[in-house]
Amino acid sequence: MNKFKCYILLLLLCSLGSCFSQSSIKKEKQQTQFFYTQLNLHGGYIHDINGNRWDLANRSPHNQLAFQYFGKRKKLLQKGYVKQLSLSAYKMRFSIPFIKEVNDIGDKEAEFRVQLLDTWLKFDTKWDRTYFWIGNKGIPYGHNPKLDPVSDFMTNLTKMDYGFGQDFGVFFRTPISEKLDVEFSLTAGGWLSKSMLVCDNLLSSSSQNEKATISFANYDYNSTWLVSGRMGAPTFKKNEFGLIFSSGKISNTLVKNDLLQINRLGADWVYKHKETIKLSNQLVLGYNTSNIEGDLASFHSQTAVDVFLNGRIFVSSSFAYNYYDVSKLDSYHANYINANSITYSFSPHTRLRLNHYYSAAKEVNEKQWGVFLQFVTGFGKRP
Amino acid sequence: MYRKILLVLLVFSFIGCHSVKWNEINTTGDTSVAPEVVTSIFEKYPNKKMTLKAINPGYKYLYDVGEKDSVYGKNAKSFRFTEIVITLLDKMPKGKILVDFKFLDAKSNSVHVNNVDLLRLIPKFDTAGQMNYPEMITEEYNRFGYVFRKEHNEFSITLNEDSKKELQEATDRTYRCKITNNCLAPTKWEFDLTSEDYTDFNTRLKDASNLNQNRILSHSWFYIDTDLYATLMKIKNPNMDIPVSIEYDTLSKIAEEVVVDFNKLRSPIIKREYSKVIEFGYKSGRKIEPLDVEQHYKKKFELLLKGDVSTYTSVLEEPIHTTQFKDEGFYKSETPKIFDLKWMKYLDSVYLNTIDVKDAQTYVEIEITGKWAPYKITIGNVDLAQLNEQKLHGMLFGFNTYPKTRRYNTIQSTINYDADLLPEHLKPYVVLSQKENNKWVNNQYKGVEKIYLSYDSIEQDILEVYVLSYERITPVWMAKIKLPKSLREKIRIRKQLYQY
Repeated sequence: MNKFKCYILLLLLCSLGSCFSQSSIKKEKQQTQFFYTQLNLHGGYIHDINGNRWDLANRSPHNQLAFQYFGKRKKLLQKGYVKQLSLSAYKMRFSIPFIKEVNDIGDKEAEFRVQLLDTWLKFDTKWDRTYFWIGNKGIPYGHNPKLDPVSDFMTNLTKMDYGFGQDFGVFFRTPISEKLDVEFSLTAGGWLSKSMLVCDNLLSSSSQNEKATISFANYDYNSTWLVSGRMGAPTFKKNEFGLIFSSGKISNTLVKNDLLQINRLGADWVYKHKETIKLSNQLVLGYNTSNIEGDLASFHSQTAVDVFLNGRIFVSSSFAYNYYDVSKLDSYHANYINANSITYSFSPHTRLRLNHYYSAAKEVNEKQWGVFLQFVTGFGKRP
Repeated sequence: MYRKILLVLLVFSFIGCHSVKWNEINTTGDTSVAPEVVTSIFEKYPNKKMTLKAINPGYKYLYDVGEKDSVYGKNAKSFRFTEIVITLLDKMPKGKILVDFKFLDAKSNSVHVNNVDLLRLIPKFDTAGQMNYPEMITEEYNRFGYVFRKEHNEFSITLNEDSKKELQEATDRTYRCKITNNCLAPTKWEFDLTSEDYTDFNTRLKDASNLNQNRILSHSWFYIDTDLYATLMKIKNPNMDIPVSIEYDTLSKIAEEVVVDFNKLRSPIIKREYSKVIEFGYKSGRKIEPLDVEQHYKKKFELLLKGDVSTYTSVLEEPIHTTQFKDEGFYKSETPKIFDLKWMKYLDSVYLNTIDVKDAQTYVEIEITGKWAPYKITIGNVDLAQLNEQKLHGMLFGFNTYPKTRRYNTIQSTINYDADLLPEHLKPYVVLSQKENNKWVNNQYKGVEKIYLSYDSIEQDILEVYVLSYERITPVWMAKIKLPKSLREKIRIRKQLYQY
């Protein structure tokens, strides 16, 4: 096993050393470090197993403050080219969501969390469009670009399937021909994707009388890992087709205290019309092995459409579906979410959204829906 | 598990990094000999090797703009390349004329640039009919060249056996080689080597300016064979009938009678955007600062001989005197060029018109004009999503005029393209014309040569437009335009959808 570890390390180092560019730049140095703060307020009418109520939103994006620091590396800008491999940009983003929910026994719960989001170092290489990232970043599990990504309400198939949409590790992208790009990631399988800090028990309830507590994430490593990749049309194409794969060992999102060996193979298709329409589809087949449930075949899909109207209005709709066939127990897990949103853009920083969702977990016959008003605004500068 | 990861990594390492090589672009893979019209020219030379003489004035030339390598012009014989040997390859892909360049100094040290498509160094005419006349002026009398990169093995240096350590070290620090078709007249070409010097780079990093590590190591001027040039021009532009030998003033006179039909240069205009000019440099009295490194050195080398260039207001008040670009391509102060830029004081309106391009909604035509202005400047097919705050997006007057310098092996076409690979409907243009009747005006006679576009911050809400003087010596006019929100949204969307 150690021999293979050494080979992997060697190959990674070789790839790091194998990739570089050149440009004209303003004589006067420009700002290269940018801070951005974003406020998200989100609440409305909810229907779930506890009945109907007016409440804060019970799905992402939660009511939160997010902080972002983004930097372009001055030295590389001044030098103007990459000899082999060079750090070119860095980003740190974290959010402090306030989450208020009603638990299984009907008690209200509330907590603050500190959640690490996009946090990475980006390295340019001497080859065009060939980049590495190290850090916490979106997994290349199919493409689903957004017309309006500012704290959007749409479904996230990766998060629904794996339980996390971003992961900590090494990410790589390069073109292999005029028509094909390859993306690849080797990540920790959700090990570092938990909330870094949780401040819970913020509401006292009838059945519990616990004091507010602050706890840090449990970073015990359970040998989780994830390899993901995509080979397909580059992102600048109007039509993007891609094949996606993923393999790894992650926590089971459906059964507590269980690890799931996963294998995924699928395809994605994104169609873009200028800056007004985006349609995306992802279809993935999976084969999983659970310590508790045995072997599971799975099917995962997502369809999303975004439209930009009149320079002010965004209309979005998405549907994501997960199905697991538990042959050992002669059972299945199936859940889906449909999310819809109409957004009015006051400016590139400020949006008002009317959101609606409907979700169901079929094997337990649990249905939820909600209609929310979401206000997003930001201060500072961002790329 | 480790076996699986290893397998995946092996697959990726075998795939390797894709790099776009010019000589592999738009070819079927079939090779053939060069056209007979070309081979016959090479056959006139001994051993079919075209041997040309070059001038390398070294330190005697006062206006070689930029910082110099310690070896530059130091020795009369070493690294002053005065002989050029061009060898035509036996076989080449159809549509390309491949040669090997060899640049020799008096001590037989040589620089080799192989497999160069000569057609890349020939202007391309994108217009048709009468429009060829103004295009001939803006393309042929424009400087453009190609950079060859050491880290991609695009050129090599061979030293003679007796070369000193000093030359070996200079060879090691050389990282760029350029072959340029200069702007003075057809057949005048240049060759230069650039080295990098990091001895004071840490100090430069702390400075407010982006002066970098580049040093001029060697710079030569030469004439390419006239017959070869005319032949290449005909191969690249079979429908162009203007003789290469036409006299400049005659050509300009004919060109200034041509009425520019902007509808033939772009797709239809969708609408005039509601944009607001928040600053005109000549009204605000903004101080003139060099915008890029080239202007910094041109200021330092005093290419501007007379005139008040302290502010965008003062520069338009009295005529300015600049050194003239003459002979093989040298700046000379004895016969200054004199430009009266007063007409730019009347450029007090800037309009943004979005163009109905099938690919995007962020392509615009920028019209700089004024009620009392005799001329207007029209900058078209500009994709606002491709500008950024760190760089100046340079556009030369003309019709898809080749940039001053670009890589020989191009960046892969994405939503931006190399000038040779641009789709017809996206070709940019910059035109100075009579405001009343759209007759083309020779910008060189009016003292302006280039446009710079940029954003003033990463927010990309304020567009900066600069007009540069003759020989890009100094900016002479500028404006800042606040973009409408809907256009800003589209710019962001375009980046998110196509460059994520």
